[in-house]
Amino acid sequence: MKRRQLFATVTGLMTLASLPMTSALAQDAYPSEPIHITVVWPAGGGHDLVGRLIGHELSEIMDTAVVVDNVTGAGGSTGIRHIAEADPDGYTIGVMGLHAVSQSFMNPAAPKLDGLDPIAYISDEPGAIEVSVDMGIDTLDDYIAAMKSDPMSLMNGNDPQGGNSFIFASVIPDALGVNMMKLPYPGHAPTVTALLTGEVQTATLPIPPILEHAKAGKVKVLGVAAEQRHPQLPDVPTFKEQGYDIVVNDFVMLVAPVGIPQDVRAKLEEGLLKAIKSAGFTSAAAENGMVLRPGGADMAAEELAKQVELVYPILEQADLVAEELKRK
Amino acid sequence: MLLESFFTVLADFATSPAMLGLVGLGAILGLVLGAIPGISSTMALAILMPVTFTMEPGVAILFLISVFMSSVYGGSISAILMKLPGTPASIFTQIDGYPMAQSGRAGHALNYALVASTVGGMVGLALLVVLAPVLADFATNFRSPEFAAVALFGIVMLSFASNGSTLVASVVGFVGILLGMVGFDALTDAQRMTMNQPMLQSGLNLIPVIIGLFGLGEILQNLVRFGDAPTARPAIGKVMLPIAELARRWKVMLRGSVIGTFIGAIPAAGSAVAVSIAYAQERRLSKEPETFGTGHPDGLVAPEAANSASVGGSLIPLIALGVPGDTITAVLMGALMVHGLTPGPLLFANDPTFVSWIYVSVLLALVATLVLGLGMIRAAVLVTRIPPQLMYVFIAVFCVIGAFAIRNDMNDVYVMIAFGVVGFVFSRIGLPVTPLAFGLILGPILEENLRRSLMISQGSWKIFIDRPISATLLGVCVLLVALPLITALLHRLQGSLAGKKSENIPKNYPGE
Repeated sequence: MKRRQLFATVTGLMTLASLPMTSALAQDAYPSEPIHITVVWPAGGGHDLVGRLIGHELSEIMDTAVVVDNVTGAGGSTGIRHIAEADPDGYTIGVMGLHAVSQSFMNPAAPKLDGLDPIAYISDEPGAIEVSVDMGIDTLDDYIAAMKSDPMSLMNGNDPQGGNSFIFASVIPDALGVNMMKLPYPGHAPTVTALLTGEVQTATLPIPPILEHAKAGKVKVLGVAAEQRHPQLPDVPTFKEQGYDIVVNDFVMLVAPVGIPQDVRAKLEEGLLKAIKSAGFTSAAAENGMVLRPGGADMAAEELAKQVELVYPILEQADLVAEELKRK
Repeated sequence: MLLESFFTVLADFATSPAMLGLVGLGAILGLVLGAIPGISSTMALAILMPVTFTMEPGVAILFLISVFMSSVYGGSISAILMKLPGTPASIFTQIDGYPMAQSGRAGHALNYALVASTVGGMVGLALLVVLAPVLADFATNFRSPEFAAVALFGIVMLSFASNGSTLVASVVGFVGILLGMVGFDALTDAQRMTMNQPMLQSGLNLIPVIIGLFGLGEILQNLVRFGDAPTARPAIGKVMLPIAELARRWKVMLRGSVIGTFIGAIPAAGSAVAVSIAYAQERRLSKEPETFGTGHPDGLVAPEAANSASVGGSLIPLIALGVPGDTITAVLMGALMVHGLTPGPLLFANDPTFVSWIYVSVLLALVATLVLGLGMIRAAVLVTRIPPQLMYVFIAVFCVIGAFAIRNDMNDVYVMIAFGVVGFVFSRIGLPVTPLAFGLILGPILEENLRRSLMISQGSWKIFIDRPISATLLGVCVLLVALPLITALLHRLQGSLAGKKSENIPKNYPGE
């Protein structure tokens, strides 16, 4: 009996003694818990793939488990709010793109961008215009000519207002001097299907969702809205090469809630950059049609500010900015 | 050539113990994950995807397809035993499955579901192998007007899907359609009926609504009866079902399978639409429709067969066009991309072996699910031996977990609780809840495609009649509505001709 008591006392003391120690240790050695990557779209999309690939690399680099949480709904706002309201301890980050910028102006209930801390920049997603091969249109000039003679002859498939291909469908035809009939589809996959089944004749999708169809010759990409040609489609000229100064892109970056301790934030940034630059992620992302441009927190913040200046006027012109969010 | 490579691959896989072991492991994981409410087939795949990162692509596909196929049946287990659909596609399984389990036929219900699921999967696969090019053509002819027509067809069928008054069912279904509009509009991202509240902006997700209506609603009902003597635990009854009983329902299985395959082949229609139409169709054709919802095996068999068959169907657009048929195949496609294989017209045209891989994986996964599923039934029915008081606590906990897990959003839990109350009130005052689910599934599809069609036609409704498939579907809808009227009219005419015989008007339902 006595021995048992002694044993219990000793174990009890040891547990007590170890408690503050473990928590001290946890503070020293970030990361000591699983890191959660929030993806604001359902499983299976482009952002989900990025989250899972980065998570796979990050778990090896940081030597901790990485969990992907799909927090979806409300045009991505639910997930962005989940990130913004998480404890700023470096254990919750998220994948973000242009949609969050649009939502921050269109939806008064969406989280503001200043509640998010950009940690690392992953890629540019340049805009482009694609046409179904059945249309027999081979060049951008053919397209412009066809659209000028009958603007209704070619209908364009794109996101609902605020999505990236909607933004592209606002910028590109303006610069080309044509009127575009925009048909909205809820997401990139249904837009691709509509283009392939012939319900729409053109689309303004970024490259990844249509890359394979372009390679298969089902879809013709007429121009890419970037400074350089797309690495996976070296034969497709940019708009600039064809005499139209159009550069417009979505982006993929990793963000965290504001207020992470400096040392943790630095470690997180370093680990994420390593993951983005890892051979495994680089090759998978490139094959998938992403245009990688890895960068740290400063660059990510700069790019985000640039996107805000691009998106706001477009939304304002389309009368989509919510009244209380209008700039005075 | 395709058949030849199919058999080569089949011989390769079926004789390799490692491959068979992997299929078995995948099937067990799929059964368990699918049976947990709130973990859909989509999520089961997403959760297990990282496991395949280090595998060879062929092996990874085999594993993932095993998980996928078995999770389809796994979802039915919790639907039958606990009235909690584990996946959106098992919504209609619990309507007749749960009453069966409650009346001591849990084993039979699981058997029916498993066999129907296997038959459906096989029919779907067979149609996929034989008819892929034809079905792909059919699928590409489906555009916005046809989607709208299919949704309308489903809504017309809705009136046949519940007991009691057709008018009441229609009104409840209409409320379901309205509820489907809450949140962001799919075409403009404009908010509707949200009052700028983040909670309503997320919309009413189908799964929390269903879990609330059926699962929590049932618990609340039992709470009201709390004062009564505790409900007796249902007997387990015979677990295994005579083959003859199953074989007798071959027609039902086949009908469900064909509906499932065709609707699955339509891009983005999804298995939830397939099962709802299969259920309504079966109830309409049944000689005893009034017993649907009280544990009629046909009401269980038809949606189960359609559910599994829609898997084969949803692979058709993926293989023929390189576009995913539903969210599940989209995840599968994402997994393939991780392995450097992008499904698209090129991959399938250039690499018949790869297509054979997929076909063989589906076949092996179906067999593994059948074998393991049969083995599990004895263990699974023990769930019904848990005392009801304890069981309801478990179910309530699962309701909360399931509603939360679907989108990791606490708002969905509140939605679930609210609909639990709705389900409770509805059954107290005798309103059917199934049409509400119908409306919620089909309403958004109808609205989105109706509006897009009218945008394409610049406002002209002729677009629905000009296109043959949509015109046919609309014609069938009109017939379905008009037929009861016409027969009633004929009977009346007959009655007046025969004079006094008018009292002997044949009844619509022989069971009445």
